[in-house]
Order: sequence, then C-alpha cells, then structure tokens
Amino acid sequence: MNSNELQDQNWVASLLQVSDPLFPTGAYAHSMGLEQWVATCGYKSGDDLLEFFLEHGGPALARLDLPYLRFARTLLQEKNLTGLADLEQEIDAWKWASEIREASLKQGRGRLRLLQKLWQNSVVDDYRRQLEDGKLFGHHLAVTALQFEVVKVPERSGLLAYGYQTLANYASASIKLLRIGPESAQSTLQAGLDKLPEWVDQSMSVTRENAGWFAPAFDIACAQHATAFSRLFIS
Amino acid sequence: MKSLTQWAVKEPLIDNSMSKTQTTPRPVRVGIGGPVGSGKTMLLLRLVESLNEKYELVAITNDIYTKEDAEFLVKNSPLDAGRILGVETGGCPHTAIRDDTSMNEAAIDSLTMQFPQAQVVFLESGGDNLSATFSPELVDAFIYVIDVSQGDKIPRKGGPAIRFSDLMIINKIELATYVGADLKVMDRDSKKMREDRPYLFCDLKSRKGLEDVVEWLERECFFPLQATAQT
Repeated sequence: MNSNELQDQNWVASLLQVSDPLFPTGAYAHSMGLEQWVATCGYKSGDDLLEFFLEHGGPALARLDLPYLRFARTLLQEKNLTGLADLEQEIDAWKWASEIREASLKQGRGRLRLLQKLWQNSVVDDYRRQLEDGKLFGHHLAVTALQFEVVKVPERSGLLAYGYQTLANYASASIKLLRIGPESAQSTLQAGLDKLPEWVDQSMSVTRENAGWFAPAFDIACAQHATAFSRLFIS
Repeated sequence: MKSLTQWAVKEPLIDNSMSKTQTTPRPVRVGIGGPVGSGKTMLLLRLVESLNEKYELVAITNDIYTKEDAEFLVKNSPLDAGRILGVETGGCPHTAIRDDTSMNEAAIDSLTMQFPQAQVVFLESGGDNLSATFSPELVDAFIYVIDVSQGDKIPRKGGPAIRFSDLMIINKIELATYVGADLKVMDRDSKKMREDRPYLFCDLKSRKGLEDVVEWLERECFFPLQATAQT
C-alpha cells in the first residue's frame, strides 16, 4: 500500500467515531419500532431477532434507507440543497408513525449539532442555515449523508456503516426487550451482518422512482407504541 | 404534503452560550440527581418556591416512561407551565445526564430560546443508582439527594455521586426513627466519604434544612448572577 493509499484510509477513524454509540445523538433511547413489534409478535429469542432482520430490517435497509442515503449524498455532492429538501419530504412521508419520524428528526438534528462543533465545513453550515429557515428537515438519513461527505467516506463503506448502525441498534435494544444475553445478541447481529453486503448490493440498483418499503403491520405497531401502557424506549 | 415552513425547527441547534436570540449571559445550570423516591422532585419544588420571586427560573425533569414529575411541578409549583419541560429519557436515565446528553441539551436550548431572560436552569434526573453523575458539560453544579429510608448504610457505599457531587442532601430525616436509620452513622460516613465537600440533613417536605440548601446554592452557584446584577 503506498502513502497515498494510506492517506486515503484516514476516513476510517472518523467513520468509527461517528458510528460509535459514544457519539451522542440520543439513539440509545430508541428501539425504532422493535419494542412494540416484540410485544405484538411475542418475540423471545435470538432466532426471533434474526427473523426480524431478515423479514424487515434488512429489506427496509435495501429498499428504503440505503437508497435514500445514496440519493442524499449525490445531491450533497451536487450542492443541490433544494433537491435535498424534496428528498427529505419523501423521507418524512415514509416515516408515518409519529414517534419514528420524531426519532429520526431528533437524532439527525443532534448529529448535525455535533458535526458543526467537530468539523468546520461550509456545506454543514449551509445545511444548518436552511434547517433553521425551515427549508430542510434534519432527518437522520440526510444528516448522515452530510456527515459521510464531510469525513469523505467512500459510498459503499458509508452504506455498510449505516447498515451496521441500524442492525446494531436493534441488537442493543433486544438485550433489554428479549430473553437474550449479549453473546446471543452478537451472534444474531453477526448473522445479520453476513447478509448486509447483499442488502447493500440490492440498494445500489434501486432507482428514486422505485425506492420505498411498505410494511403496514410494522408501521401500525410503531404507531401503537405511542400509547403503550408501559415502555422502555421512546420509539 | 405539508409545506416546509410548517416543519421549521422549534429548537436552536447551536450552543446556547452563544445563542443569537439570547442577550443575557448563559444561565446557571444546576442538576439534581439521586435514587428513585429520594426526594428529587420535592427538592426541585421547594427550590422553585423559594427562588421564583428572586430569579428567572426554568426547570427540566427527566422521567423514564412518563412526564409525571413535570406534571407534578406544573400542578404544585409557582412556575408557569411553559417554564417546565418534561423529557422522556427511555430506560437509561443516567445516560441522558452523563454519556449522551443530547436530549437534555436540546431541552435546555428550547427553554432558553423561549425564555432568553432565564438565569437558572434546574435539571432533575430520573431516579437512578449510586454511580449516576452529571456531565460537566450539561450542568455547572449538581446536588445529589439520598434519604434515610434507603438505610443508614447508603453514604458509606460511596460511588461518584456520593463522593463528588457538589452538595449531598440526606433527606426525610423526620422518618429516621421509624425506619431505624441512625443519623450519627450517616453523618460519620458522609464525612469520611465526602471529606471537605458539603452535605446537609433535611426534611424537604416539612422544609427542614431548606434554608441551608438555598443559602448554599446562592453562595456557591448563583454568584455570577449576583455579579451581573451589581454591574
């Protein structure tokens, strides 16, 4: 590996930093629908969690989240914040359970706030200004795309990192929600990560017109969570 | 589809020490922590009752699942409802005050934007264990509340909150005889654990010891406000 290639790997440390649960965005307080889905389906084990990854988590990544992350990065590379505003409207519309929508906004805005403190960048400043003017939303997907642009993460690596974060967040929540321990959660996460490259590959071929993932039962469960009698997570 | 202006940001995204809407210095932030049921909300209520006439106050309460403490304050305290904000933290209240304070920072930003004249922010943590402490980025000082009914062994169990909080309050001393707690033991152990750091015996419900708490707060935490008032 020559020195230029080594230099090119500098984004790895920054990617690890922004992907770490230590990066404070409030993600620890959200199960992103898993809590109510566990109650609805009677999930108990690591096998149940893996079923959730295979039936919902992975396909949602492949059809919705990762394509939109890719679209957002392209728009940011073009410095097309008007286009990004349109894209964020679509992202907002896909998150029709209010808790999920608010979770995305809170985490996105929290991440943006810290991004601005850690990296001086004109695109981040522009995004923040337009957010304050009500022209952009601050959804987590859009801010994540912005963050990957700032720290210069290659496209596919960014998609893999976002996929990892999503599955790892579910696995972390599952320790509190299911009768599984940390080792079982890691085994299930590993099984999900084995499939992740495939979901990333699928996401790369999804066009804007065909992007989206409609899972009404899951979305209804997400909405029911807001009025649950007892709950451990905000979403 | 809603117009984008309907989704305008409700809270500022910048450090509130430099908020463009804020013309007064950054408010003093005081955290209140302690185990479940030790009297954190009662302390907050009594402080608000004692200081509301003198200072511009806002208050934030953290609850795991509900906004019950905020609703209690709205119902019982002299603070306007708009100056009280309940934050639902989910299952890790200590995370929300120490490791990932983003939700509480956003709540502080929101309140100080609405009340730019605010001089003091009280932030009550959800009930937690003996190791829960506040991030120094989140608050300027923190008060840790324990009570006699948890057992007179609590001070000697130590932990960062008992040892290093800016003020420790041993609450509900009127109950000590009924629960078999020896206040002399608690005094001895507190002195050993905290060395020079202050601690006070109180019964906040009956206001016993409250004056000492207020006096400590004004002397140790509110001095910037007094300096501002003199200039």
